[in-house]
Amino acid sequence: MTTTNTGRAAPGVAAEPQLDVRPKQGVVKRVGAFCRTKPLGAVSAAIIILTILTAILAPFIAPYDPLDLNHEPFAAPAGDKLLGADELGRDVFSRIIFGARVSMYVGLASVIIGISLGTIIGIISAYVGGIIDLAIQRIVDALMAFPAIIMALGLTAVLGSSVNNIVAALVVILLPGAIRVIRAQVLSIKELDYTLAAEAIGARPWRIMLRHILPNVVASYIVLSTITLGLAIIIEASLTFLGVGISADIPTWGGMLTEGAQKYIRTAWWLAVAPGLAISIVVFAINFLGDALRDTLDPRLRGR
Amino acid sequence: MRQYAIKRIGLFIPTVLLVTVIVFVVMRLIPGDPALAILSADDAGYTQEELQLLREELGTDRPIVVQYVEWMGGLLRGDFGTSYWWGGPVMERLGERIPVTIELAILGIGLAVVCAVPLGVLSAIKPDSPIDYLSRIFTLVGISIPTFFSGILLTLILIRAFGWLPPLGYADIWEDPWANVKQLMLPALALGFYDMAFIARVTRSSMMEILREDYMRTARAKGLAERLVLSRHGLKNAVLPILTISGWQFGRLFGGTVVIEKIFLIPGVGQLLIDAVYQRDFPTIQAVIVIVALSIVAINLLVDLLYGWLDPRIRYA
Repeated sequence: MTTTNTGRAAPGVAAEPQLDVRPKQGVVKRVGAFCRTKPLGAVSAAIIILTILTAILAPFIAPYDPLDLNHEPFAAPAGDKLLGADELGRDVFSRIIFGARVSMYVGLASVIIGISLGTIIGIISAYVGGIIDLAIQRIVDALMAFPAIIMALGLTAVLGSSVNNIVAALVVILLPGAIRVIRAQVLSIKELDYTLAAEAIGARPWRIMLRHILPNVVASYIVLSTITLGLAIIIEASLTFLGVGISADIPTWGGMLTEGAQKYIRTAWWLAVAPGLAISIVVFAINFLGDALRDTLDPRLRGR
Repeated sequence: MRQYAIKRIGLFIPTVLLVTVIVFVVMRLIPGDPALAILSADDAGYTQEELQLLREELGTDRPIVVQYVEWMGGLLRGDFGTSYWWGGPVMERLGERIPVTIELAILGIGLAVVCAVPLGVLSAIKPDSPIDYLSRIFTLVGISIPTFFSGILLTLILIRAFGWLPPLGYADIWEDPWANVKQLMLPALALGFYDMAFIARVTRSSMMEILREDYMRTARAKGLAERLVLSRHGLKNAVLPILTISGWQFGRLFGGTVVIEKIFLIPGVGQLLIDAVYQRDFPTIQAVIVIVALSIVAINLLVDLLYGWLDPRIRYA
C-alpha cells in the first residue's frame, strides 16, 4: 500500500501490548494466542479462508449455473434467488460465488509472485549494497512514480488482458513497494550481532542471506502479502470495471459492477451493490487481518 | 537547506530519466509492428511501399536509441507525437483534458484534508471514545471500498434517499463556474473518500504520538488553555507527516481519477487514457502515462523540499 514512507514520518511504535512471539512456541499455541488478543483479526482471517474455499468449491456451492438464464430478467432478490437476477436473468448470487474465483486467483497469484520476488531482490539489494543497491533503488523510485491503475492500464494495453497478463502487470505494480520495505529491514538485520558473527566465522554471502536474513524477514513477508492482497484485488476489479480487464464471458466482481452499475442503477440497484459489497467485505477483512498481523508479528512496520 | 535541496534534486534527475526510459521500453514491448497495425486497421489493404513509408514516418525503422532520443526531444518541446487514432498531435487533445483532471484532483484532496484532519484530531485527543471508535471504523471501511464502488454507492444513495442526482458531464469552470462546482462535488467526494480515510488515520497516529511528548506536558503545566496547547503545540507539530502523506496521496489521486472520470462522464485525462487503450492509440497512452508519472515525481520533490524547509530535523538526517 503506502510503502513510500521511508521512515522519516514513521510514527514511533505505539506502546500497545504486544504478543510475545517466542520462536519455540508451537503453531497451534500461536494461532490460539492470536485469536485471543485479536478477535477481529481472527474473524477477518475466517472471512478470507471462507472466500478462498468458496472460490475453490464454487461449482458445488452455487445454486445455479452463473451463465444460464434461470430467472426473469431483473427479478428482485427473493427466497430462491438471494441476490436477484441480472439484465439477462442470470442468478446474481451464483455469479458472485463464481466471481470469487478470478478475484482470489489473481490476488493470491500476483501477491505470492510479486512479494516473493520483491523479498529476494530486496535482500540482495540491501546485503550486497554498493552500485547494485543504488541501481535497484533508483529503479524502485522510478516505478513508484506510476499510480497503480495507470501502470496497470498501460501494461494491459501492451500485454493484452488475459488473466495471467493481469497477474504479470500486478507483479510489476507490487514489486517496488515490497523491495523497499524488505530492503529497509535487511539493512538493520545486516548490522545485528548474529549476522556479523556468521560473517566472522566465514559463512558465504548466500548462506547468510538464506539462513540468517531470510528467516528474519518472514514476518514482514506475511504482513506485506496480506496488506497488498487487498490492493491487488481492487486493481483487478478496477481494470475489469473499466472494460480493459478480463473478458465479459467470465463472471467477475468488477465486470458485474460495470454492467449492473451504470445502466440499471435506478431500477435494479442490487446489480451494483452485490458485487461492490463482495469486494468491499473481502478487502475490509484483508486490511483488518493485515493490521492485526502487523501489530502481532512485526510492530516495526507500523505507519508504513 | 541548500545542501539538502541539492541532494534531493540530484536524486530527482535520474528518477525522471528512468521514468521516461521505463515508459518508452514498455511501450516497445507491443508485439508486432505499429505501422502494420495501423495499416491493417482498415480493410482497404496496403502495399509494401506504403508500409515502408509509414515506418519512416513513424520513425520505427530507426534504431531504438535514436527513437528514444527523438521522443525525449519531443517531450522537452511539448510534442508528444501524432495520435494513431485521429491523426493529429497528441498534445492538442491532452492539453484540453489536463486542467479538468487537475481541478478534480485538487477538489478531491481538498475535501479529503478538510474532513480528515478534524476527524483524526478528535479521534486522537479522546482515544477510545465513541467518536474515536466511529472514526476508526470509518477509516478502515474507507480504505477498503474501491474508488469505483464509492462513486456508484454515492450516486445510489442520492437517488434512493433524495430522488436527485447532480447532472453528469462537465461544464467549463470559466463559462459556468456554479454548474462546474455542482457537477464536480460528487465525483471529488468519491475520489477523495479513500484519501480521507487514509489521512484521518495518519492524523490520528501522528497526533497521538505528539500528545505523549514532554513539551505538551510542559505547555499544560504552565497553565496554557487546552485549546491552545492542542493547536499551537500539538497540531502544529503533527501537521508535518499529514502534509507529506497528503502530498503523496495527491499524486496517487491521478490513478483514481481514471475510474471517477469514467463513472461521472468527465472529459479528463483519465477518459482520454481509457479511450486510447480501447483504440490501441499508443502515442496517446505513452504521453498520458509519462505526464502523470513525471507530475508525481515533481510533486514528491516539492513535498520533500517543503518538508525539509518546515522541519530542520529532516535536513540533517
